[in-house]
Amino acid sequence: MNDDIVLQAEGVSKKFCRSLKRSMWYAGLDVARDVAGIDYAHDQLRPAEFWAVNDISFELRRGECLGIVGHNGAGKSTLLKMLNGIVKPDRGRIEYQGRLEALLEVAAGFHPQLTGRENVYVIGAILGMSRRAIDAKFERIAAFADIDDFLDTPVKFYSSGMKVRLGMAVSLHTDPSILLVDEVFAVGDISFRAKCFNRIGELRQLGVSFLLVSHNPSLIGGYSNQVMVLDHGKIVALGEPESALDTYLDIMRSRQLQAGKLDAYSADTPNGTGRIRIVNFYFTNAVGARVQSISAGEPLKLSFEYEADQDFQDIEVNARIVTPADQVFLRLSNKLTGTRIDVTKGAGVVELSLPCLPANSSYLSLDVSIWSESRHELFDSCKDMHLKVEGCSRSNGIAWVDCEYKVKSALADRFELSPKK
Amino acid sequence: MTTTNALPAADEEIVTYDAHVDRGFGRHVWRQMNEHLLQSHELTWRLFLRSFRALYRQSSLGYFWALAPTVVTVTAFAYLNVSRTLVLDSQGLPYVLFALLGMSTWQLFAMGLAKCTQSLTSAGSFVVKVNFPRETLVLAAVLDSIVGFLIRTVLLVPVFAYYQFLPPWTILLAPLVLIPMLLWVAAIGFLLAAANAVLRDFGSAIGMALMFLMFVCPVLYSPPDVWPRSLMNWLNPASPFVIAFRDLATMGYLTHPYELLVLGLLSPLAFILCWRTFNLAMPRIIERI
Repeated sequence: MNDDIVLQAEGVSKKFCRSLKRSMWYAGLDVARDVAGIDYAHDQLRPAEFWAVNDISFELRRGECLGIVGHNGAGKSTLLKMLNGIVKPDRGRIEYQGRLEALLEVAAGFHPQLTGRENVYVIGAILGMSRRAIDAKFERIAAFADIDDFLDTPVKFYSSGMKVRLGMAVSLHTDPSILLVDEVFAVGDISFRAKCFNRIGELRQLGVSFLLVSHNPSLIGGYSNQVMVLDHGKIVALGEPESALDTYLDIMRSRQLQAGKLDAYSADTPNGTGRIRIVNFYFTNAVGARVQSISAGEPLKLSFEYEADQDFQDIEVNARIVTPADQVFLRLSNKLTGTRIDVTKGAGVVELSLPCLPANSSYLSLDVSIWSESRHELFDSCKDMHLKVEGCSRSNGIAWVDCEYKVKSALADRFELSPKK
Repeated sequence: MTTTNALPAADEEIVTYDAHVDRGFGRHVWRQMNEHLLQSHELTWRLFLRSFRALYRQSSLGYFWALAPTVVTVTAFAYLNVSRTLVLDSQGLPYVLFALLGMSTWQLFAMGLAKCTQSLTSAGSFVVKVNFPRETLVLAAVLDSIVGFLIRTVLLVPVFAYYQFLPPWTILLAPLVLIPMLLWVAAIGFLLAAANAVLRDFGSAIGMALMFLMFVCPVLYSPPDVWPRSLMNWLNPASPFVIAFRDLATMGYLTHPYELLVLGLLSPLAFILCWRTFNLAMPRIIERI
């Protein structure tokens, strides 16, 4: 292995069995063969088996962060379990140098009857730390978890947040050279998450390499040097975060299309009483052309055609724009802007004009609902209409706005920093 | 900012996971397994402390519960014997002393197996989330049963004193016969722990099986010498050790040395075979939990 490469996976594959009965039978057979040292075709699929991870190869260099994204069941967690040595690959080879740790919800290992202090020593030992090492780090661990008053209280009296904080505090102080992080930063309050990110930054400065698994593209994009996209156990993209994440979002969109989630609206079956029905929906750009993708700064018009059975006064039109990570990016309502909308019997069009959609490189989905005055009646609603927003690389996160940086120094009068052209 | 030495040294060990390595009984495998075991002695101790401290913490009678099964069983059988409801031979020893010595040793075997069987399933979900030598859970369960045994031996002192029975010097050798028995406990425990992780039936059945095994082991009666009942001295792996411990603590000689010799010599082999089987089975089992 090259000096700079700390982890190398070559053609790693793992198969699982769909049938519980067969799975138990295969387990018995495999263990018997392993004990007897008999070589067998473990790289071939047997009835009811499938490849959960198939032919994964990559390298991780010192200090690098590799982000791993993929839909549920894409093989992310299985890959991490193989890298961590919890399950064995059925094909291929994994090699790493140094100490590999997984940042998991280690709070699962806490014994409820024991105090926080006692549990720190148990979890520390499970994670491979000696008593002396835990003694040396105990103050830092306790300070990180910030539960001083409860350290000598049995863990069963802890809140779930306190348990997670203590567990994370231990596992972030194990001095790994490679850290596997599997979707654990969704826990804790904002200040604790900030602590975790700072600790990870500190570890990165020390040359620790990371494998980061998350469903959140902006988190992956913000931290990773390269991103691996998994689909049905295979690598479909591995490279620069921006292009890899675009591939991921394309996959997510095509999966939704295949599942019939997109364009699921049907005028024949309104999702409401149907006295006002949405019969068509489209996006238009600044020149009035119908589009399915726009650039982040471009004006956008959302239009939906309706048919009403009678005249309705003061109806409510709601629109919700959601990111792929299910965060509400924008919620619009004519009630919020104080705009009165009356519709007359027959066909018509409602248009929502936005001067721009400041979303950052993402597929957005739009939900629309039409309500009667005071929300006594839902006339119709439609969900999951998608729009691709081409991003602006000068910012990160789900939204962007163009900005200008100014620094005021005590020594110099004023510096102005302008974005690169 | 705190500083930690996170960078691996250039000569740090390279770890390899491969479908082809770690099979059978090759020499490198033993070296690796021994290294892991030596490295994890502290973890074994921590896991033992974890379960031992927690066991009696929310209990008003505390360590009494380590004594209770032995006291209750010995009292019940002593009463049956005294009342002549059940006439049991005690090789000329006071029956309470005879039964207590037998029960103490048997409980070490039985509690050890019961705790080993539950060791993986009671450890929580970190067993499938964190990579650590899982044999430490089984070994911690064995350690736990040893401490239970030591607590129970406290009972022997007043019983010896009450019957004014002066034990022979060979009582000092008695603990030695427990070493091969503990190897058997760990060996069978490895298999049961792995099996129970997949099929919980083993955990449910172990209590019943141990109750049956206690009655086919000379715990509360003297070892049978008539065929085919004498088979139990051979077939029950606890029997030779229960007999030998009692012999050394009271008689000063071994009444069944051959059984002890055979099962004693087989114990390291059984331990090694079962440990390796457990080691190989773990990744296969964990992917199915």
